[in-house]
Amino acid sequence: MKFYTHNIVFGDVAVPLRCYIPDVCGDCFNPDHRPAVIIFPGGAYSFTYSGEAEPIALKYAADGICAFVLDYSCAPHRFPLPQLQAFSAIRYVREHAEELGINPHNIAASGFSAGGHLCATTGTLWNKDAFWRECKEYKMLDGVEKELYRPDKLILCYPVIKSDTEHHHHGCFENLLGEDNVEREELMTLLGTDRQVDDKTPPSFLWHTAGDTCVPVINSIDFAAALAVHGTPIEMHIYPHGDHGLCLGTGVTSEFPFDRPDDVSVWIDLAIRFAHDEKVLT
Amino acid sequence: MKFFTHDITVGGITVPLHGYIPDPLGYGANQDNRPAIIVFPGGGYEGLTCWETEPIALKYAAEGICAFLLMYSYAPVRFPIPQLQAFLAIRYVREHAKEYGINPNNIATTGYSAGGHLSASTGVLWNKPEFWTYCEPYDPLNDVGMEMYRPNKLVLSYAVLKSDTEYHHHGSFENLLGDRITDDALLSLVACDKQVDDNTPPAFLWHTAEDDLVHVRNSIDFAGELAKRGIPAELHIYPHGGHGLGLGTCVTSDVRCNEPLDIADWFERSVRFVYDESMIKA
Repeated sequence: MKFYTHNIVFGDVAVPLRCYIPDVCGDCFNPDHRPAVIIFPGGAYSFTYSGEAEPIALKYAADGICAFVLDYSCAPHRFPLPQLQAFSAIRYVREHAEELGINPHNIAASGFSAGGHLCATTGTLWNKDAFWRECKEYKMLDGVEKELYRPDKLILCYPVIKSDTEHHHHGCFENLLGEDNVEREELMTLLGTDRQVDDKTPPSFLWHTAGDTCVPVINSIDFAAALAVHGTPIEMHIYPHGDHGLCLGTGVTSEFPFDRPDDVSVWIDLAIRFAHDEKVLT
Repeated sequence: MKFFTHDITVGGITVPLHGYIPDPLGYGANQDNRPAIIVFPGGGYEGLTCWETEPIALKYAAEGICAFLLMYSYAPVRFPIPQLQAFLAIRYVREHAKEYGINPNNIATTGYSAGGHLSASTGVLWNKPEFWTYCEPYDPLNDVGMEMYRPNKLVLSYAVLKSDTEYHHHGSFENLLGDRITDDALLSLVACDKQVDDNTPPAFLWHTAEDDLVHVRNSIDFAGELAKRGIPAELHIYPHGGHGLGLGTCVTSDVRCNEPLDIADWFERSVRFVYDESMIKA
């Protein structure tokens, strides 16, 4: 395999994008046209959680999917830096797709919890002028089309989606925007990802537990509903039991005894299937 | 993860042992006492089958198991070199267990087809003085006891295990022994089913009944020898399918990515087997 780090740099801030590129075996199906998944771990935009990083990447890589983990900037770094780093990661994968044996039109972004919010912002803000105006100084659109930054799919895991006062995870938005900016209504609207869904938002896979007391399941439900309005392909699995942050739902990422995985543990197999599926691509 | 290569040199020949060590998470189960598995690809002792190499190692690593891949020597290199390389790989893993967060009493070897013969060889020849006599020029017992070389478990996939004329894979033995194929005592020593004794490790085996290259009796008879001695054995025989199916997924064969073969469920059972500490004799 190729296992290496590509650094994403803005100003004097560098963050690693860890790349897990399995070797291709000529006999297998689809050898140089593989899906890619870029993973954003959770942590309320204040840290990145190890259980939602490498263990997830290895599951994808073991199924012939090129996986990337972005250790994006957290508080006290602020919006739009994590979003810029995420878009930069998508651009890196797309520009190196041929070299890495990746299908440049099947690059998914994936995220857990606050990393899910980051993921949903890549899916909804890539074509929003209001977002790019906030980022003018970084010149990300010089000589390239916005489509370069669009993820082809989203894989959202118990994601923070909504910024409405009633259902949102306030800590995340404080960490992302800073205490002052969290009062700016137009910014909070821009970051209410369900409100930014349009007909160009990518097909999405979501999973959530109904018992999540940290990020209410209505977050996933409302994002899926917004996509449904546009007829965009969606796959969603809501499991009845379990709280927030279950990662793989097996002994690999938790205290569960290895032979009694949690009910949710099948989600990764379904996500892998979704990542491979070329029929959902728009 | 740590992804590296350790060279194994014996008899003037060097072969790589690749290591795939997932990062411990700093929480949860299995941080510093993880199972390890050493993979031997198939290829009739005249090559190494591509899809039985990295895809297998990565799939175990994705389950939190420290995986190693031995690209052992084959024809015209002869017995006992591949066996010695396999034993030295076991020794390397055991001696570095603490450094890699591995339980030195839960190291499995696994092999496919002729690689399965190699894996079973480690399980049955580690305590045979007749075997070590062949290895005297290389002095492997100079500074350690035979127990250093014993694998704690075997995972055997459509393995070559018998050397009786009726059910054996002649090509593999010709390639392994060369001119000595006519040496009956040697042929008997490399008949894994005949070498099972009370100290042979527990084994997981799977095979397809329709395998027309390596007869299913190879797995049935080996399991029978374990059963006679009350040694834990797990055996799965699938009714359909030819030889060399690997994981039964698009990573190891030309099947569509969301249409795994019927046999594909064997892998998950083998993961449970590897984690199962109840069957380890310290």
